[in-house]
Amino acid sequence: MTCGSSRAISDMPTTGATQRGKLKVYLGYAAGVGKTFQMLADGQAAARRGVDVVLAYFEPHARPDTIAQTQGLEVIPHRKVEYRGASFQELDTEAVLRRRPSIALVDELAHTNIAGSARTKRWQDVEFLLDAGIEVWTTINLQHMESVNDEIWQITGIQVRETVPDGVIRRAEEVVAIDVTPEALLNRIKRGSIYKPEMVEGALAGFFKGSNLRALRELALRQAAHEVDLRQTAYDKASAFSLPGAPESRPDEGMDSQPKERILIHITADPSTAVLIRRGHRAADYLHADCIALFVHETADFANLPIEERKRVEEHLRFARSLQVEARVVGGKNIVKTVVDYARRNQVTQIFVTRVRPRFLDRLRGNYDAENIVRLAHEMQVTVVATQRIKLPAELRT
Amino acid sequence: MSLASTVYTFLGLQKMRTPEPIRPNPERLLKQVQAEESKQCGAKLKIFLGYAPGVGKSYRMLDEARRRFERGEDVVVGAVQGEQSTEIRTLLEKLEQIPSIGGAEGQGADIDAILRRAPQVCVIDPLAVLNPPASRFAHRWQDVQELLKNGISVLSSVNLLFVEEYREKVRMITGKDTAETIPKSFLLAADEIVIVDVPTDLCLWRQGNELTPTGISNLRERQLSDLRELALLLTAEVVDAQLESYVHEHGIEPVFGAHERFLICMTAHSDALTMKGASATGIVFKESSTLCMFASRANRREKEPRSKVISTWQRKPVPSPKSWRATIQSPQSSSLLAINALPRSSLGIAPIRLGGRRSSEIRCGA
Repeated sequence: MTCGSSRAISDMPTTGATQRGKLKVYLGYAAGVGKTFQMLADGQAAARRGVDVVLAYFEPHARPDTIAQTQGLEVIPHRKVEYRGASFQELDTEAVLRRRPSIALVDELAHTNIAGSARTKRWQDVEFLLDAGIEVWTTINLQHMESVNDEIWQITGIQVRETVPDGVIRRAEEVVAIDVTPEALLNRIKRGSIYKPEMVEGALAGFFKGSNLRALRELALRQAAHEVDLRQTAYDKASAFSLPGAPESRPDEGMDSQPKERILIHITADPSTAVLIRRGHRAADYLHADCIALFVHETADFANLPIEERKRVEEHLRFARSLQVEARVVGGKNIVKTVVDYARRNQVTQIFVTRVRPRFLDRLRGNYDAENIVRLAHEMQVTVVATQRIKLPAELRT
Repeated sequence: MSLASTVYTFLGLQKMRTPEPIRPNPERLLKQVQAEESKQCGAKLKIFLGYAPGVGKSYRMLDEARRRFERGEDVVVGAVQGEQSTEIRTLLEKLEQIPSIGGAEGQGADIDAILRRAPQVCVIDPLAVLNPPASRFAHRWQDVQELLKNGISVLSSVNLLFVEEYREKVRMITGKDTAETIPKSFLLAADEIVIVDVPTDLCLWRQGNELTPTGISNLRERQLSDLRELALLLTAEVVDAQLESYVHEHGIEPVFGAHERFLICMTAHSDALTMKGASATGIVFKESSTLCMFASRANRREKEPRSKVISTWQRKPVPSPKSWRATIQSPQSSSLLAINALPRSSLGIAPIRLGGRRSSEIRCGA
């Protein structure tokens, strides 16, 4: 695809000599929906139109249909790595760079490289190629997207650790949803075209449960719609700059006419803070709101904080900053009062808090931080983020 | 907000009472019976949805027909689009076609011939077509219903532009009106729906290079992008309905997380406007749906303020949400807490949003 304007959400600085390559992501809701197949088919079509496409990485043990789809595409040989007596195949980033194609097809964005590789993650390899000005098409499953991590956990009960940072997907020019009905996917699995026969049973009872697949599919479709929406907003902003006075009218202008939302995330040492940060960041993302993360302690540095707690707080602050959330530390004796005062001074409209288990004495007094913030912050919306999977009480189950 | 519960007033630590068992919804029961009936005769309707001409619906559908045929299913093609790319023609050559009928006014699928032939699967492309005058049915989607009734599975394709409920929205985006539409309920009743999603620039490219001039929609990329988002959300909505019925049929625990559901709990003293506005800022998440509950205690006379709150709620539009699906229920119970527990079981609502001008209103529950 050589046409189309560049619509990255956050424009990369173009100070370097080469312009950054475009990224196109094929998003699926589970293994076997046909992401790779579609990517290869589009690659074939592009090659037929005369575009210089190469297949840079491709799972060697793929389905026969998919392998057939690689016929005629130029393949960059994989890098063979020996590790602990076994042989592994990895993307040969340097070889792709030497070949300098217009478009490189790289399967499985969420892959972790074998120890000893130049970069630990495949998405870093991909970033490397993009920075060198090569357009990359890649595939990812929904559960490997950082921003939906918590939802995936809610739906499946599985905590996915291998995730690709939001920023990588956000900078993609295109996210394409690859959809297939759960019925068709289950048939593919039963026919043994996705997993080996001995694994089929386990897959069907676990991740590929009918209800899981339907919920994941819905989530993937909504995510894809959101990605389309984000790119529209960026596109509209860009065209508003280039065409002063002639912005394209949109059917639902509701969101723009509302006052700007500002979200404050209250960071603590509690492990549930990671969920909180993700949630707050996601809310800000949807509302196009500003987002601040705040940690309050008696003194503005955390010198008297136990080392364990300090580590966790620092980790949370780092995580917030990695999501481009402004993270601050403020000193204050009364935590609740300091948080609310700070929010008020900064015109915050929503506070995100988590349920922190209070210290023994506070619990006796009925002193819960979350409740106290709700009580004090009259003019703000307070969201208490759940930290457990939702379970129905036994007597309410159908 | 599946992970979050927005709480205006706290409940304290009172114990939740077990609510009375919920009566099954008659509509749902009917739907279930219908679903079971259609399953008995084994005929299934699968729809391929696209946001504009050129996304590749027909290709995806015919390719599936080809794969099914090669796996041994008895597949015929009952109706095809007038204009065909070379790829589609290659696929069609491998499949048995039943010639369509009709004259100058247009082409119609030969329903009688298909019924006589009685295949397992029939391809009808596209779905939104007005049949020529002398046909058995006025609309093609009625043809499809007839085939399904006779135990023939149908594969069909729909362009978002031709869904009745989206007519107005699509007209606002494209400035064009469509003559023949199909009802959205038809999509919701389909056994399977699949969206054919491609980037807008590829769609434009195909319109410019592979379609004949009649197939070109003359839409700009920005408009296509709006349509694309609508199509994705429509599919998500259908999938959500399927998830709900799946959960119901299989009697399993509801799955949370994919669809945000809010519960807004109001009392006679609630400020409906503020609460509506507040929930609107949350509702933009993934097109959540809202259940607005009007909680009242049975032993109190509060009819008048209550109707005032409800009418304020219904009258005032909130600009932000793209699809505002709020339903109002007014259960009566002596305990607000028990009321809160109700929708969790009946609708799979996860979070609970409470509101009231005075915190005491909610707290004096059980």
